[in-house]
Amino acid sequence: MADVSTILQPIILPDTSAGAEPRSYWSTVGERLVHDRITLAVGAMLLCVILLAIFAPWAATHDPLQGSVLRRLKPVGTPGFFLGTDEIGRDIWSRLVYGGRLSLICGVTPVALATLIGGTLGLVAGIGGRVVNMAIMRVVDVFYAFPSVLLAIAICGVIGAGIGNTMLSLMIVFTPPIVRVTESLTAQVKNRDFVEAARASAAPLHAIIRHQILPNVLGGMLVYATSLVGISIILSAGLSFLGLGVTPPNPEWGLMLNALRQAIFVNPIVAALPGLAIVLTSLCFNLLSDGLRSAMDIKLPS
Amino acid sequence: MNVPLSSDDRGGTAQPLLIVRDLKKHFPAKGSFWRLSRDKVQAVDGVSFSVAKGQTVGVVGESGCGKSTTARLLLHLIEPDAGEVIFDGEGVGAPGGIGVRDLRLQMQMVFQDSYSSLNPRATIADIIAFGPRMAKRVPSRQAHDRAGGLLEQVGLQPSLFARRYPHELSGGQRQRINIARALALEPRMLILDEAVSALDKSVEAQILNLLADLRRDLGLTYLFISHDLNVVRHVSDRVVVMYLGRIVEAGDVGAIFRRPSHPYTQALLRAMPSMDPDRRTEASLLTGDPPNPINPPSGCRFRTRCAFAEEVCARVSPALDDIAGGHQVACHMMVPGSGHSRAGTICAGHD
Repeated sequence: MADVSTILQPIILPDTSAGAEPRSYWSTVGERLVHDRITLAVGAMLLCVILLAIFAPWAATHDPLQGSVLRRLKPVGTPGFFLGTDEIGRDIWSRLVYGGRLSLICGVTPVALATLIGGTLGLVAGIGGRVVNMAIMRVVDVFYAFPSVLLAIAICGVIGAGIGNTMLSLMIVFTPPIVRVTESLTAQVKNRDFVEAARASAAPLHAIIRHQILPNVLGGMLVYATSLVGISIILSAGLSFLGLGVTPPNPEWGLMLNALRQAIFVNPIVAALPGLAIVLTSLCFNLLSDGLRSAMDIKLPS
Repeated sequence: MNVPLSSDDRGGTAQPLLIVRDLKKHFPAKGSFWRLSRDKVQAVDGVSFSVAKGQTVGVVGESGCGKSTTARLLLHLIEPDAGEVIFDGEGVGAPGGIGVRDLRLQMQMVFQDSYSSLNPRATIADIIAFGPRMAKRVPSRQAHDRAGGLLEQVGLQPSLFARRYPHELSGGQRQRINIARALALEPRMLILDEAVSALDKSVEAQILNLLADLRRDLGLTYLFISHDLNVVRHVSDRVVVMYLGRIVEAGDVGAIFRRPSHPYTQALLRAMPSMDPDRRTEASLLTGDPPNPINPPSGCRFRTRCAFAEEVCARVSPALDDIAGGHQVACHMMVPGSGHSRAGTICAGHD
């Protein structure tokens, strides 16, 4: 009997893939990302920030630690100090460039570690039985009893100030929500028919997790984690602001904001610059996560 | 492609491909927060049947009667509480028998929801190649080549479909993918769990034709689960009628449709729309919903909706007895001396 759909196919669907290599989900996502102009622009901007931070010794025009009483709080556009100087005469541009190193590390490291640990725990809780799920999720609930900023401050207070401890405390703060997001995504995916079909195909459990569950969980998980990077930069800046993270005279955006806040009436634009750097960088991460979200949702037209 | 049947066919043609004995699954009912409920949902309660090689056995019944649970129990996607599954003479999980993994390599399933049963984040070729790659360790390249062959076999052009994603396909095309995926492991038996129920009538006919062709070409055996009696009549050699987790009647398709003997089967058939304008559909004998499977009626489970129910029906659970050449019915009215006033008077009409 003639199959109507087979007859119509060549007309409806242009053959774009004749003889091509098999493509995987991730290569499709990559293709879609490359065709998304906003994500490309944001990615380029973020790359600039990262490169500036890495090559800070070349990008900086002055020593970030060298101040002078003679040139305190110069405004933006001063010859030789095009972004002005801070309250003890240090060059703002050089400090912003060097400060990017610590701020980016403080933003990305805790989230990356939390995603690794929280993602694994969430996956285990989602796939494991009732008892495993209860054990993991109830422990996670305990952390929800504290507001995240307060929890970070409390942990820092207990284990002491310092960059390493700030990152550790932020990691502990970010792990519970990632566990929750991953667990709920996993539990949803686990009960879908295609996972049952994969089980029925006699595939081993690790193959089912890797090929069936993970691709459907990783998207939501990564998008959520990327959105946390912005929060992490701001939180670590906040901890530095409170004197718990980076210690003076090291340059860091949150610390700079703290020091310059007293000059806000003298030179408001210079005082706002570190804040602007924080806002721009976290905005980039958030837009990147939006782009990632739409690229991974292959049901949306690209 | 012709799979030489003899290589796998250990038991010979007389040996049924699948024998199910007294399969049981009682799910714990949802309890309150403080205390686990001791009630059990008796989803499947002592189901026994067999499927001969090359046959299509249809399973019919209202929704909630345990058809889909039975399908999942057969593949051990849900662990049965009790009962035996014997595949070509070898007990599944029994000493000296075959393991669940080996069973799954020989028995595959096509699901009702063609969309939900395909991984939305995998290409069609990846979906079909997954089973062979993971379960049989076929190299990726080879598995993808074979996926192309399977696409052709189910009537889809590989160059057009291999790189697409499930959401880009129509329901009928997706169900063809599901069939191709099930065939990828070269099984001997397919369980079709409402496989055509969600499709348009015209597409349903195409898929049924495809299934018939595949059965003939590959020598497959089907367990065809459906609530659509017309379709079951069209495709089946034998029919099993289920009600509330039990089999009430089983027999050859002709016997079941011409001489339905259980009051439930009779009611089901009477509810079928007739194509003949002179034979108007009479009011169905069936009223109301099936009883709650947590506390099913004592004795015969159908008695609460049966027009002929008597005292004995509440007391004794009727056994599935053979009334004529493989036609089995579980009803007291079929057994002379059962205590039912109509016992033996209603004859199935077999000679």
